[in-house]
Amino acid sequence: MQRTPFDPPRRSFLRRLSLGAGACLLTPFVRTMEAEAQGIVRKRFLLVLQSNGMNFERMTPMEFRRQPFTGWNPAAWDYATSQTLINRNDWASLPPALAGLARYQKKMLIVDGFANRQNGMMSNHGSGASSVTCTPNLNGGEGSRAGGQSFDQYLAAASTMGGGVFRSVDLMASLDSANSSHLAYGPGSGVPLLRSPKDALVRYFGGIRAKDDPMAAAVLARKRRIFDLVRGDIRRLSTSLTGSEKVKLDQYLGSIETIERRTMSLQETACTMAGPPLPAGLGGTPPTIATPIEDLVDAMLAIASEALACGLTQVASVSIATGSDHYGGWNRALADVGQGKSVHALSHGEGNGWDALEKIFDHVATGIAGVADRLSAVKEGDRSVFANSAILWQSNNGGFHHHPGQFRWNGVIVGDAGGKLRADGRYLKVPTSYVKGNLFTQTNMVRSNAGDAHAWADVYCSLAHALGAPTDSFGKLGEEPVKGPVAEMLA
Amino acid sequence: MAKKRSSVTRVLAAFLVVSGTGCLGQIAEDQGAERPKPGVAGVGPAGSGPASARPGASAPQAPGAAPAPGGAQVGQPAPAVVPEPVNTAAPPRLAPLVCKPDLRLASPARIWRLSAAQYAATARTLVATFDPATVSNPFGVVTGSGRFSNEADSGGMPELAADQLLRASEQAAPRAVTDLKRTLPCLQMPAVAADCVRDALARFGRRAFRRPLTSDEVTPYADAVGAPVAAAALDAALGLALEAMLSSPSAVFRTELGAGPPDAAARLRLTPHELASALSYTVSDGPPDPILAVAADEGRLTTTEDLRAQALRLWGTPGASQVFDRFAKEYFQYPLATTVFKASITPVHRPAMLVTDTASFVLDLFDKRKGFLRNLLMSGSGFVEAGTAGTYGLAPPAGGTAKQRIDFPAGQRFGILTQPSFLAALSHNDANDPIKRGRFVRESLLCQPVPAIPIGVVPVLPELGPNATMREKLVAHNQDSCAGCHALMDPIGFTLEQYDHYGQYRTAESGRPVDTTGTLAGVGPAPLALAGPKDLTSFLADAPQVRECFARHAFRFLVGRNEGAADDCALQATMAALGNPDGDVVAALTAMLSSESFLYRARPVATKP
Repeated sequence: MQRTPFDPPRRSFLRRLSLGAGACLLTPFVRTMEAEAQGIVRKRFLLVLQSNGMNFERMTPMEFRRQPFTGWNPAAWDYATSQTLINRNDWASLPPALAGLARYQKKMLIVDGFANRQNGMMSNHGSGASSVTCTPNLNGGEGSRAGGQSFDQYLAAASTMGGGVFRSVDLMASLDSANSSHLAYGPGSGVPLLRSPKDALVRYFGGIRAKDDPMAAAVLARKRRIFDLVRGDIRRLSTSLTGSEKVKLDQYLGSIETIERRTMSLQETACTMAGPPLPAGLGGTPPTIATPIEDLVDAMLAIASEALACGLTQVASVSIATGSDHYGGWNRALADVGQGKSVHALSHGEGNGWDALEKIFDHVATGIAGVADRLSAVKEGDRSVFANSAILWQSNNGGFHHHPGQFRWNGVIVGDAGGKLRADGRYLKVPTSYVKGNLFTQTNMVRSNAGDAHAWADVYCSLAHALGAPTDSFGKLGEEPVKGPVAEMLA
Repeated sequence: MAKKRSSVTRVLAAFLVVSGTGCLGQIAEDQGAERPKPGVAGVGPAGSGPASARPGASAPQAPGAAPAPGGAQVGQPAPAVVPEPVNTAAPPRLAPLVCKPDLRLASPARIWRLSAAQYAATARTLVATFDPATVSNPFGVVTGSGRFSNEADSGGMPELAADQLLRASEQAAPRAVTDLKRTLPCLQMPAVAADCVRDALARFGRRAFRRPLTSDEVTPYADAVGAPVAAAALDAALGLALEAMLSSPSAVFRTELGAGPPDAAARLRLTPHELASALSYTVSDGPPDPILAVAADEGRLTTTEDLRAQALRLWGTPGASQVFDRFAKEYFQYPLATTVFKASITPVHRPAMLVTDTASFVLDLFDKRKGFLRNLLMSGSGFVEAGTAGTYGLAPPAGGTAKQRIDFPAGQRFGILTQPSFLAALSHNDANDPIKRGRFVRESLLCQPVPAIPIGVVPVLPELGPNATMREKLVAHNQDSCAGCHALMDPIGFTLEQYDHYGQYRTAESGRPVDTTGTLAGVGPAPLALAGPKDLTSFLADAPQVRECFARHAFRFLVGRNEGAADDCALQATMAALGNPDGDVVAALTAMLSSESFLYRARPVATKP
């Protein structure tokens, strides 16, 4: 039977995630327990970064939906309407693109209308790292290096959010090995992303051994000897170097020690990753162009949710086909169901393909609902992990037609981060910042200073406050004026 | 050396003291900046600059003979005086090169982590039966902030990279054990003796570390194996040691430490094995091949001639073509054409194919070696294929779908700056971008930095109606405080108005003959008047500033760091080899790779382990 992208195997996916024999058992870690004992809430954040734009017309509750802007004439854009403020939680009908999140409708905050134009006139198929750094990329283009720290890494570096065995768990669902990471520790310093579910399982779960694992002692002794040998070589070479050259080896030494510390800790068990091996196509490394993108997205979301649920990390991300290949895997998925148009063409409104495009969105939405389910199933104290979490689903692109502009960004937030966000089935569309200009070419764009208009960075500031790592200035070095948290987003 | 400021730093320091409302209104002297030589356009005292460049000065000077065809259109006279704003201060430039062999400075000893491509090539060479593509490449994410993707300073070992490296080593080690057992019969004995284990480790280590290991270095690995070892336990024990070797910093970092007695200037010459690695990774992105490894073992890399011969040999390998292709792409940035979205679906635009057109053009010139830079900047030939011919205004070439070398119609194309991929890379979605194009020439071919757009300035082009040309919009925009910087860029970019934003040759814009006139200031006593792209590229092709700038970029790419005062001799040697009309690019790059900048490092101060 031919599998379609809309008949995903996720129903059994969590059960199938496995390392095979001796599947690892995970833990709420000691620090988590200590934190709980002290009444400290350990919040969680998941970033789902999707390529190719989120088509805000498709993410709008049906009550507020307008006809998609499908023409090529920028003069047809209705500036006046786009400058209205909508802040409502009394709507009823989710758009088809978000159908999979229906059971979380009242735990959802849809945000829309935020500006994030960086690098002057950049308006191509994606804005790369600037989508999550809110600062211009170093060399201007989509694929160039980050000009600042990405929001997820801002959180991961915060004392309140950097707990767990891993400061962050960073995954990519992409069929293209050339795809780049938009996430960044800082300017020019990209966060490596794991593309292989198998590698991710091994890295995040396989190195941790349960206390009752009979093989643990032998495995750990072997690892320790390898670490010792490498450490010895690092120290020998280090004596010949000074300054920044020595720092490179110090970093390696620190990395080895971090890995060793993690590897050597025998864990109490709480969460279980058990079941049959990874499905065919995902068991090998890394994914190839033949790998079903739907499976890959499901796998990475499942791994991220497990890492968050078990307290391995407080910050996780899944980047879906960000980088040079914006839609390759989805194009194949569309072809499987007889849709001749590419994702790119559909995003422009060509053909009669909105339904197909919405199903792609809904596949991700359904996956995010699965993450929320998993987090809801794990208790910390008297609440679920989900109750203290926020999941942000956004694109690396903003504006109509899935790209030109970066003038109107939207996203979906699931979870209220411990009651701090107004994720109560709310649709918040702020007035767009730009009141004039050619939206296709991004020339002559005139920015308004209207009070309700906001930069996308303000969404991050709001999330940062809600997650207990407050900042009013994320993206301050960018090209959009940052006002700080959006009052309408915070409870 | 550490206290020396690079030329780049000196220029940037000068920029920090820009005063006045114009971007380049006045540049004060900085104590760290070298004073320009008389007669050289450079950073000068406040209010200075070549007299002819000041407002009211004489008209732009024609570049030698009368403007040649290929610039302004027939029937459209080239204006003698260009009305656009003329810069009020000479553009700053890097300090002039002054080769002082007696200075004998050297850069510090360093290590340089392998790039993703280098790691894959190295792993494949080390363990023949291991396919590195089956594991996540530990160094797959490019970091750093410079133009080139493999900078020596930017490659560290963050935790995830280390984790991935250990994982890859774990996968490769069992295969390495199998390979070793095949080649060493003593490893197949029922009980493997200690000498055999040491021999095996020394052999593998020689290849992994790209140098012989000392006995002291072998010992910890041998101890970990615990010889004598029973055959049944050998795989696990030896595998452990090889796994550690594959993860050693000596395996994944190139070392450039130097050894032997320091010279009078306290410099250490790189060892033959370090030089073999440096040459090989620099030229071909892989570890030393057997010829180079044997040359290092036999001490045949001790003279400059030895090194030059090996470099010349390596430049002829397929790996070298890939490296040069990467250099050209990162330098000229034409692959960015694939990231510039075009708002209109006509004409047919195939940026990825156009990029490969340009890559073929560059590599063809590289293979020919002679006259590289001149042809790169003004050749009337190129490569096209059926899918791109239309962009050049040509019918699809006969003979299948392969790329074909072609002479473009006379007077239409002049080297890489007029290749569609380059033009599209530096364009807007629906229009040309003379600013970016001019900035590229100014910064990347003349090495004259232009200040970044001030923070808070939102560029807005005036609305002049649908029939206004880009030139008219920019001229209207470039008034007041914007004029200083834009005068450094726009008049250069205007010459490339001969092409539209797809890179198509055109003779009209908005229903009027296209105006391709421009000026180039800061390269002589008076701004040069340019009738069009041919004037621009003709000047650049013969300009010593461009040879110098090309040499500087090649240095940064090959040596992995910015050039400093100690590197002027290497740059001058490279420039000399590039000299027109028959400058040999391979000889030029080889001159760099056999220079003292490449050969020597400052003696490090000893530290405790």
